[in-house]
Amino acid sequence: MLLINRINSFYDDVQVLRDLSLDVHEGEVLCLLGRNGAGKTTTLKSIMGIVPPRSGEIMLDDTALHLLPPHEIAGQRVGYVPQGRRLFPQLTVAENLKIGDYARHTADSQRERVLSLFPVLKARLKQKAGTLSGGEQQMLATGRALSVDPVLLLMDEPTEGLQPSMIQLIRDVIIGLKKEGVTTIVVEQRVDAVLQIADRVAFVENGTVPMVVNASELADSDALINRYVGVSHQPLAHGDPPS
Amino acid sequence: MTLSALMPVLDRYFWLHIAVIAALLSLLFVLPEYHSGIMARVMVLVVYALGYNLLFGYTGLLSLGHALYFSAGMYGAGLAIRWLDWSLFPAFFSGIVAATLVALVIGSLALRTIGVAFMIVTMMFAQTGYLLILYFNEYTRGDEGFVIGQAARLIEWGSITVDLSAPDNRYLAAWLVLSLCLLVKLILVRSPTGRVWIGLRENEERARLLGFNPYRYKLSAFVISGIYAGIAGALYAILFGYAGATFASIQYSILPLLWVLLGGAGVVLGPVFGTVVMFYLVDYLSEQTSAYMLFVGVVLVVLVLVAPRGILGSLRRRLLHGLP
Repeated sequence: MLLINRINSFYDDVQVLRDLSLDVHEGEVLCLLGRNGAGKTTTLKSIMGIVPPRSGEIMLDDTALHLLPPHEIAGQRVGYVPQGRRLFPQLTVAENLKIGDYARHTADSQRERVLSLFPVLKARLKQKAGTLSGGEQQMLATGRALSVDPVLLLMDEPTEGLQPSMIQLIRDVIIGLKKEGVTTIVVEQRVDAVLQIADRVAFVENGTVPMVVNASELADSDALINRYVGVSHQPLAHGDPPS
Repeated sequence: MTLSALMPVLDRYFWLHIAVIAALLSLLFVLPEYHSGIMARVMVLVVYALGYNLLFGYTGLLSLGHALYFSAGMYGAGLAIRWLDWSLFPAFFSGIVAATLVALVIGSLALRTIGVAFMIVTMMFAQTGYLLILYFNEYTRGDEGFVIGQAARLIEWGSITVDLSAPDNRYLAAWLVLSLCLLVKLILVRSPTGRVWIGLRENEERARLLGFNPYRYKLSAFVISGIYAGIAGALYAILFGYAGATFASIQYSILPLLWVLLGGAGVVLGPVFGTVVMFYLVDYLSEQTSAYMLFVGVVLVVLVLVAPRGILGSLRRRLLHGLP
């Protein structure tokens, strides 16, 4: 599905990704786990072409993403939910969703699909996106990424700063998308969240991926979590129900 | 665009725009001749400001060189009449084509820069255009400009002749073009392309990551904005019978910015109100004192403090939330 082969990415002269390689299987949920500054977000940005790799290759099936500008990468049905949501605040909820249809040049709207995943947005369609609550903004950001009908979805800390009920909703959506066959790469800091949604976990350390394990292996290995994340596996937060 | 695609546009805000257009027409019958003359001039300049608003208010690109496209329209029409003896309509369209081509070339170069560099590059190109008009004074009559005779300002259709130098006809012609430009703009900003322009203004990176090519959309806004400036310039030359280098100067690049800011950037009707208020403010104060620009400045500062989003921008924030 997605093959990242020894990419090296930089912010100006500072190298962030070092020969990073990763193989993402079709239909799986892969979590990137690691300490702050390890290169998780940069990995997503490199896939999207925002921080294009200076060497190495990123192949989505037979398409060389590393050779394409960001807008053409999105045109390959790669959806991206960035950290901090980043909506179009002056456009309404409906317009934020509609804009994905424009990008695909199709009348085949994903709006109903998005609204069935996030029914709360139905009542907010005419509201300016900038006036939504944090959780609603995250729903909309996720919904807008879905509006390009992605085969590959990249999510950067989708549960950051959300209340427990919203976190659970976002996780349920990720699990639901997996059932639809959408391949998802999620950057996540919370180990408990990773265990709920991931098929596999890729540890990111110093700009490379030293190890990929099945999520079930992670549950039993505090040593791994300690080494790559720096904290022991903690139970779910208060009021944060398991799926 | 199909009729069904236009149907959602026919809401109460569409009728508000129609009401403004109707009000502008009715002014012809109630205003004294002096003021209807001023309003004809203002309406032509509103067309210019409408285009500027597309680029600045909707796409978020601040150009300081739009006088170039206004003067390209003005000289494209004026020179065609003066040197080629073209009749009114071919000359009008040659002005629009000239502005379109200049905007396309300059836009494709200037949009390779961003922010302050974009402002400077657009201004430098406009200054180059201004100097070219002065340099080729043999043809353009430089700073002095040239008059377009009444004979070239007649519309002849069979036995019907319309003299556009007559005040009422001039008013009606300006109103007609403004009305069309206003409605086209309303449709444009509510179209998918218009939504993408706003998306680019608000978050260019997000728009790009949804699959939009920012350069292409910015260039479309730039060129359409230039076409509006060209229409205004060509219309000005024909209705008022004059083309001069003053209209290519930096002052005419800054004026539409002020009109748009005053009326409300990113509001279709904003430039209508901004241009009228600004024009009459200058007109009134210049009758009272020779230091009128000082007072104009004070009034503008107060207006910006009271209504930082412009007249209609502030109104939209408080009352008319869906105003396009």
